[in-house]
Amino acid sequence: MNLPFDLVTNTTTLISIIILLVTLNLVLVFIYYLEYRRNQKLLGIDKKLGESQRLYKRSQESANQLLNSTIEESQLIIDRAYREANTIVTQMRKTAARIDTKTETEITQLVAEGKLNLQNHLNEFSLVFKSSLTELGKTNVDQVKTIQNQIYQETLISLRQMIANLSSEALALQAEVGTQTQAEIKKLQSELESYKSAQIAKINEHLYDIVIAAAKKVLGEGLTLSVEKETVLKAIDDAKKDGLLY
Amino acid sequence: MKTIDSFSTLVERIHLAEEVDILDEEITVWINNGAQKIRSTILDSSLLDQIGRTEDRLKRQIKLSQPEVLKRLHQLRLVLRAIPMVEIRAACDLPEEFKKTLVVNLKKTIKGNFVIKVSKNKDLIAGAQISFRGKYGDYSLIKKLSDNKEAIFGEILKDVGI
Repeated sequence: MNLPFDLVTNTTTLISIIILLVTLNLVLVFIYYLEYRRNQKLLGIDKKLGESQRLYKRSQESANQLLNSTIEESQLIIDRAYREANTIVTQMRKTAARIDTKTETEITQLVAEGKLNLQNHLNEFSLVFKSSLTELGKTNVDQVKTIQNQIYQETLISLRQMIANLSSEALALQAEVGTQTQAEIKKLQSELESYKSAQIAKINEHLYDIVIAAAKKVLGEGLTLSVEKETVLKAIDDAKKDGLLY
Repeated sequence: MKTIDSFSTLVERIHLAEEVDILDEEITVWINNGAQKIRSTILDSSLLDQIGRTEDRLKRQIKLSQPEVLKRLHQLRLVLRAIPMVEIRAACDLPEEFKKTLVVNLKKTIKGNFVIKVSKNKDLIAGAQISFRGKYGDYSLIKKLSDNKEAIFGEILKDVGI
């Protein structure tokens, strides 16, 4: 038997195969190692990515919260401003209505209660008128009473006209108030007060003229020629007393 | 020589300012005509007679020349314009008869000649405004109302807020 050549050949082959396998294994191990290393890297990236995502989400949530709270606060401010403006407009409307009502009430009261006062003052007036005739011994009481009532009626007509004018002007102002902004509302408020004062002053100024105009109209048409002649003669007598006619 | 006193009768008969105006106008015409003619006028015939007599009297009694007559007419005009005037402003038109009543009334206190001038102002309502020799008085009803304004309207003004 000749062992040795086949055996040697087989051993060499075996050793080669083993070496090859080992080498292969080493290569595989190396490859695995590399793979492992790669995987580790990827894991790290993932981790970082996860953190970033969490951070991002958190900042997003914070931003949203901030935005929401800002929106809420702004809304609150707007609501508050709106409520305040509404309150002011409502007050303005009430003030305008009050002014209108108050002025109308004042004047209506004047007309109603003023009936008594007017009557008293027309009595005064008729006394003045009568006294100018009494000395002549020709007092016409009925005529004076008629004249008195006519003057009263004429005055009432003029006063009622004035009430109607005031009411329509106040209503127009009231409508204007409802459409103004806050700054303009404050301006209108003071204008309304001034308007009220001016209107009342106008009434004061004109009331005397109204009654005088009514007296002129009524008396001018109501006096007979004989009464006019008597008053002229009375005027001459008064002028004599004053030393005018010497 | 008779003086201007011959005009006194004429002047005494004149009581209204309108008469003075008319006469003054006529005198102007006479003067422009050289006192030759007396134009017929709307004057009262008795007054016209008086004026005629005055001129004739001047011519006959005083025997003045035409220039003298003209001079007298000028003087007459001055006399007429110098007559004191009582101005009465009433609230209505007063009839002529009433004006004569006023003259009679005024003669009781006013010494000497005067004429009245009556005009109208409706705003007075009643009574009159009177002026004479620079003096003036308001005796109208509107003045009485105005003077008593506070008493009559004081309460009403107070109610409105004065």
